Amino acid sequence: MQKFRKLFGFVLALLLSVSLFSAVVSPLTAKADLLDLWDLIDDLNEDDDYYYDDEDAYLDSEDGYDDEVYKFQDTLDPGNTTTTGVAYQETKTNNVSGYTAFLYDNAGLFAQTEAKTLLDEIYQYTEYGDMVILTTNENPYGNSESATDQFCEAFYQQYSKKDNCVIFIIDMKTRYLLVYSAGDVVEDNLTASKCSTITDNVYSYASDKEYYRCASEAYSQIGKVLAGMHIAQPMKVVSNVFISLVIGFVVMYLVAVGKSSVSKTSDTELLKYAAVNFNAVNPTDTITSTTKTYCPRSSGSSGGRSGGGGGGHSHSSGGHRF
Amino acid sequence: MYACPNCSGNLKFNIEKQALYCEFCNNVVDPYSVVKERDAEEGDKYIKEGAAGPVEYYDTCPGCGGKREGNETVCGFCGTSLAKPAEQVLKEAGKDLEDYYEVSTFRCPQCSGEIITEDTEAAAFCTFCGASTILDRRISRAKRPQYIIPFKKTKKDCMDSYGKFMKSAFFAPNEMKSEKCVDSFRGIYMPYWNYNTSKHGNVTCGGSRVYYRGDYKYTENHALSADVDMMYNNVPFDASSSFADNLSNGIAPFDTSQQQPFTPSFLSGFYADTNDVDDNVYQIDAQKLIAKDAFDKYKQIPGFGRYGLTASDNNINKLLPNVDGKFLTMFPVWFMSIRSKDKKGEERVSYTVVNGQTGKVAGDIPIAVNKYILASSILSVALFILLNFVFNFTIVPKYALMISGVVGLIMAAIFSSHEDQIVKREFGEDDKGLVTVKRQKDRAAGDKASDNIAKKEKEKKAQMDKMKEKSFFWIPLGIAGIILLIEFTVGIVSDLWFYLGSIAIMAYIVWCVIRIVSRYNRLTTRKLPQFNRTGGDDSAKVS
Repeated sequence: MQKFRKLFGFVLALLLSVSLFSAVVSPLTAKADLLDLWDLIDDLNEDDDYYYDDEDAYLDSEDGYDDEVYKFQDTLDPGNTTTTGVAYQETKTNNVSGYTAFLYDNAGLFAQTEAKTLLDEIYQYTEYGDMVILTTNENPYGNSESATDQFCEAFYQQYSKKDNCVIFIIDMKTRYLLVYSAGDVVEDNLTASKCSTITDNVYSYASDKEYYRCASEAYSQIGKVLAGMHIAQPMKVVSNVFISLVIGFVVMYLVAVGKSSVSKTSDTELLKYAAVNFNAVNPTDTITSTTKTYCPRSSGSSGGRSGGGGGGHSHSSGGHRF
Repeated sequence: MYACPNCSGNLKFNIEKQALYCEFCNNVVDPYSVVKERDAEEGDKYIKEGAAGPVEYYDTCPGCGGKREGNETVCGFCGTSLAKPAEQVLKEAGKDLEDYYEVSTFRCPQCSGEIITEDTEAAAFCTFCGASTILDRRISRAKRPQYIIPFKKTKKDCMDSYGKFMKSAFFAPNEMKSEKCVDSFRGIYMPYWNYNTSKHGNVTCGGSRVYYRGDYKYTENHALSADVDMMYNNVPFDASSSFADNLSNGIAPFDTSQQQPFTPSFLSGFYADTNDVDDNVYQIDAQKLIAKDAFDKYKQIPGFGRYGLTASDNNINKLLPNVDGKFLTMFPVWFMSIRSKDKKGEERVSYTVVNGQTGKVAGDIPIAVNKYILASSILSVALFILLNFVFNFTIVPKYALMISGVVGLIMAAIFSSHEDQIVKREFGEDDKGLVTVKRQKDRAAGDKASDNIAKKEKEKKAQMDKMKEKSFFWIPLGIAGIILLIEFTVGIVSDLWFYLGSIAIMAYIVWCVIRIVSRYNRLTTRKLPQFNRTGGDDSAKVS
């Protein structure tokens, strides 16, 4: 029984460690992938041999092509959708602000009337920036949650390219909802924290396959946030209460113990008043043995690409699995 | 008592004057110039070497020749004392009477703690267990210390030092700051063994150097030797089992350059603890302490610095010095014991000590749980405002669960570590001197057979394990583990479960911290001492 408990404890501890490790590592991996995407997009922008066809939103290259970009374009091509529903793509531009509302339902999650209603709903927020609803069954960037973020990033770069843009995506491949915001005006209000809260508030609709309600509610909350209004964040408050309690009690415990315990006198201090006399003469140094091991040393700079460079932009996002 | 040459009043050592002083005629007397008036005749009947030397008795009455029955201390036939005179005991043990001096020893019937004093007020209060009780007085002889550091800090200085110390102890119970409590400080001379050590000769330590050449790493091992001539004198370790090691360490060091040859008149007006720890108990600790310090100096020998001399046991042991001499010295300590009851009604005692030479304070300061909860709550509210309104902090539920799980495990580990310390202290296992004295007593009580000792040790370990409170570490581990297991294997778990799990674990953490604090107070208070000296009365009532 004792052994079983120990084994159980070990397995659970291992699981916790792995989970924590993945939680730390996966955003880092995502960041690395994103750097590759930036390079890819930079390459495309520098290449004179490609053209951008606004009509069918298709990117092509005459002398060679990049599979990843093609795949991304294919994913958004209504003709290539493989869902049981009907793919729907429509845009509506606000002539006053110059921003556009995009509804790319490539996963066919909305009925046509729902899609039209949604487009109208998000159009009203185009005074702040481009408003996008994306659904997809395919994601060329992988199956991880960060792939959904990359997908949004790619869309933003190629279709929006405006300063201010909000994307709400239902990624059926990664089973991940994400609110993505880019641009100074939008990001000021729609922070990563708010994005997370919104997806937290609506993910249950997606789990229940109520995709229209999910997108509609998400944009309703996005609109409130963009207008500077408050949205309900009950779990945020509850978790902050407990986090504050935990930190408060633990920190105060450390302070209390530090103030109450008997401080140990150091060894040097203990001998402070001892009568000490130390003399050493005739120091000699003899080599007793030498070992030689082959240990090739790297040159330091490996010639890899330096990430970053110009052309980057900041964005905020927050998502939830469903 | 030490009588004033002018008026025969009681002379007491005066700290400000650093001499004996008569309160009646203001006469100031050199401590070395007076001799104690002889106590009652019975003073010579008993001999005592610390607490380790029991009183010895005749098997047959020297008066009538009657045989001693059981534990009789006086003859059942003629009433003559059966205790052997001091001279005879010393003679039989091959010891010199000059090494001993006559003292009035007071023993607490409650804890068997013994204290030496000429002050009859001592008969009303036990410094070790804080009991207000009538102490048993007897005249005995104690091993004569070689040196003494007289008190330099007056009681007022001591109270000032304590006051400053308590100012930073925000969480201390208010009663510890009360005037009555502060006034209960008593000046006690604590016995310390001082070790004189030296080492002469060649010492060789191992070092190494690593360097690269091309694609190869070279490790050179060096033998670094030097002719060492070192001497460390006056390295003190406490010689009383009733003086906790952590407190003794906390008020160290004492400036031994100010020590003076001992004469009993320095004790007049103060108390003195008896030395019951053998001089060999802390000898290895003293040698290791010196060897470590010597090794630091050895590393600084020109030319040795670049050879990565590591403080390994092997290297340090090469500098272990020889012990040339050990002598007893009395160090001045202001001592305060506070008796209190825990939640279960068990009486506990906490000690605060002040170095009577330097004023350094060390003490077992409990944490007042109500103050702690109040301060933690205020901090929590401030943090909540910062997190929620200033930083607009939001945490993904899955991460909240993971983080709370990890913090929960850390708190469980801290709790377990605390329990280990508490149990060690409850059984006196964290004090080397006390452990040794207890073992000596066990052996003296007849547990000579090694299997008996082993059996006792096993029983003690079982008792210690039983005393430890459980940390329930599986609560955070189980909650976080099960939810994450379902998330990773079965699929999506509702946020609600993550939040509920996090909240449950965070509640566990808060509960755990409050338990740690209340248990921590067991570390800062001690079981009423039981010094296991013959003559103690565990059932004595405390008034």
